[in-house]
Amino acid sequence: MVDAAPGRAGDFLAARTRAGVDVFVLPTRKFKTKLVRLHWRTPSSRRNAARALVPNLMRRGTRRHPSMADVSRAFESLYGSSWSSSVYKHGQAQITSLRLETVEERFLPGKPAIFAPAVALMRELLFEPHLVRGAFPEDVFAQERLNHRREIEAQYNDKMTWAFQRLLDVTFGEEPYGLPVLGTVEQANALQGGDAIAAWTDLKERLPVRIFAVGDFALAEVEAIADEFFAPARPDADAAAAVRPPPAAGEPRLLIERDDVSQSKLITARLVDLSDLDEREFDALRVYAGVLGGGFHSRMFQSIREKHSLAYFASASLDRLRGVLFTSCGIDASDREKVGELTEKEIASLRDAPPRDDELEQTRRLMISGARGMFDSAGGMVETLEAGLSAGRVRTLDAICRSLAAVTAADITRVARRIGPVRTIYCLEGAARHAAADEPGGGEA
Amino acid sequence: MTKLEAVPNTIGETLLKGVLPHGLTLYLNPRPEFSRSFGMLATHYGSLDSRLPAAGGAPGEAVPEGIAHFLEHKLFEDQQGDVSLRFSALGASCNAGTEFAKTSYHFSTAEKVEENLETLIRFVYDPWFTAESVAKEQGIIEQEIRMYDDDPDWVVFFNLLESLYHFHPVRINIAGTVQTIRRITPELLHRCHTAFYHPANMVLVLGGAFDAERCAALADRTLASMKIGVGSAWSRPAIGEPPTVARRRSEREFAVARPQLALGFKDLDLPKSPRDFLRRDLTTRLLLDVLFSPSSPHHQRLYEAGLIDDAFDASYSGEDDFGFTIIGAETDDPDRLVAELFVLLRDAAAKGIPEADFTLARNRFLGRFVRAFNSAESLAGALVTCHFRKVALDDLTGVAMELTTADLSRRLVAHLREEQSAVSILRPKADAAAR
Repeated sequence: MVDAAPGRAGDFLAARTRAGVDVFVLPTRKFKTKLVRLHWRTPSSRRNAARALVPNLMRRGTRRHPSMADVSRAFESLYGSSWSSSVYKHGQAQITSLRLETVEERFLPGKPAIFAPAVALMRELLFEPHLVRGAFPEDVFAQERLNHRREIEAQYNDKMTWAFQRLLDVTFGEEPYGLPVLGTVEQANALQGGDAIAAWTDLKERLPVRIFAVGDFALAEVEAIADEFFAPARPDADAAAAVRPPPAAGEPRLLIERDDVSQSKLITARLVDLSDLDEREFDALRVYAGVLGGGFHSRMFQSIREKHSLAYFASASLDRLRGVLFTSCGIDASDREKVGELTEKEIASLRDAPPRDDELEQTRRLMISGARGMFDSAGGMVETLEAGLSAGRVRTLDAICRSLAAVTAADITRVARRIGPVRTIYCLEGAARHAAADEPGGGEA
Repeated sequence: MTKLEAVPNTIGETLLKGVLPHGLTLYLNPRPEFSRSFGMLATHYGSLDSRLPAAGGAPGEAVPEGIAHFLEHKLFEDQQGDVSLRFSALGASCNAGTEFAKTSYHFSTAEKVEENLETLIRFVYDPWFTAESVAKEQGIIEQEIRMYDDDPDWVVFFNLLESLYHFHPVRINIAGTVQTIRRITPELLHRCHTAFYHPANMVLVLGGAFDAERCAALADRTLASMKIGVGSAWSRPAIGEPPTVARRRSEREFAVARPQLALGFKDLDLPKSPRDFLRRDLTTRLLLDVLFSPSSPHHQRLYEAGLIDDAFDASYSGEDDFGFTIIGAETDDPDRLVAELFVLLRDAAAKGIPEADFTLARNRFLGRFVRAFNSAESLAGALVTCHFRKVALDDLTGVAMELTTADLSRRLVAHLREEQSAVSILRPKADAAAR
């Protein structure tokens, strides 16, 4: 049930400007701040590194605020209005997001004007970065390229993030879904000034752009910002709406990589068949992942952690854009096979028999509560709409909650059959600390 | 029946306060426009409390390191089973956290607020420990400790605290070690619960979509129905920590991509009153903001020299009997960065704090204060902290407005001193190139 009411997208007011920019506004006085987010999306590709670098170059200075300190100072002078950027993955797409949050003027001493100057600054960062003969200054570019490479390398410091990217590398290879969203070290090293200018020009002029605003706004106010930022018409093709790729080919694969870690990370990927998925099944997949590994009550948590004491965390998640079920556990190396078997057993059991009424009911409630909770933060409201836009299922919060509440045990069994066999088992493995556990309660050596 | 009084605040948010049976303080922040409610019950007890109370406030028997955190885990199981499942059945998600000076339990729900509130109160005050369940938890917490052991931020931080402090329990890892948690018994858990989980030592906060009068009445009835002995708020006995740092440097190899640095300063200025405490806290935070925020010339110089990047951070933490500043960075040359930081601090001390920089930092703080009211969770956290520190929420902005550049300059000279500092470094393993 896509909410197709004219001028609305889910709970947001929606409009498309003459230039083809999509504007989404949720007017509310619920928060003490105003939030504006600009999102560009593009298929994930080998240009990820160049695109991810651009926001870091923008903040290094503008024509009027030539240094990073000048830019920061300008924002700070607006009572700590915050500007930030992020680059993340949504299915096959890489999203570049610029985010501006300002405090509502009425809560500050003397009610100073903050919002308009903050928007002007944001515009300056995007359209008037400090350039020398049409390029980012060489020293600035060289330094940000180095920092970008280091940011990619630093992902190794968080062993879960690291393990997850290794799983994607192995499972999806060169498919856009598997590409690291910040690019690779080699790609970062190879970047030239021209790559950055091309990626910046794409943001300014070419890529599909969405503007989200949550706060004490009227739609027309945000449309005016969109017109001011993006006047010339943009190509209207939604480049990110790529055709769903075929399932990655190949045999199931077990990959164990040894490292000096105290806790081993065991993660798996299974492909999920998303063909001809109806709305009920779309929500049933979410509930399925919740029953399997979404919280304390879930099968994996109760079995692997609570019953067998084999992990501190044990969870499952499902990407409904690409169609992948992930499971992850933090374990002792000696327990890898046992934990793998327990995970497999729970997945098989959900395929063979419907979930119990109590676990189904608990999961539906938690998901509904979680969905409602997203609407208690401005960022959560934007994320809910964006998830709907990416999946082609834009719904109001109430419609999402109604649909989740309607998921039955039979629906779970139906979608459980869409879960394919395990494609990849990846373990980032440290030294085993104790003998393999084969009894409930675990065993100390 | 608990009487509720309005708590004035500059933001104009509805805040109510009352005292429930057995002396439990209650704060309510009704937000009818919100979808969910957030409840938090916290005790002024954490990893710092490494000894049981003894008569006359003297230090009592030592307990195993990590017991406060262990107790937090174990309260989630009682005679009827797993408490988190009970919250799930009521449509709520729940969690808990143990810090240096407090342990808090919380739930978040879009339905059945009153039933969830009652569940929260009952499980926290109704401990049930068996030898079997304690043994099972040891396996789970062992995995949690191992996860922290792999976290470079955590390791570089606690290595630094071990350097700054000789005896103070702030140097103890919050979760303890695999060895210390094996010494924990049901009997020790009961004794800690009796000593530190008395309502008079705790605070309950509820924010979100609910009926304030009904929730207050329910909390009142629930507590009144429970058997709880006489108790009081807990004050930590003095530790006798020497002013010197325990060691100047700690360095080890670790599975990281680049060297990780933490430079710490041990605070010798221990506050004499709650307001004094707040002044020390805010003065230091504003000082660090002036010196190291991305708008400062110092930050710019270090960034452009390639010595720091976005991972650079400076923060202050403290309680009544300790305080420390930590400057953290990922950098190829930790020793050069440390040397540059000391030059910078000497230079800033000589020149004093510019008025314009101070005003910027204070405005930023005021903006952040307003932003904290955006969510029931962040406001609840702030209320709990203020309650245990015996200050009012509005004191935060009140004290910030009293401060001057002279306060910051004095603080800089007194606190950020080389002889009170220690360095903790993690270096990539020699064979990391093979990766």
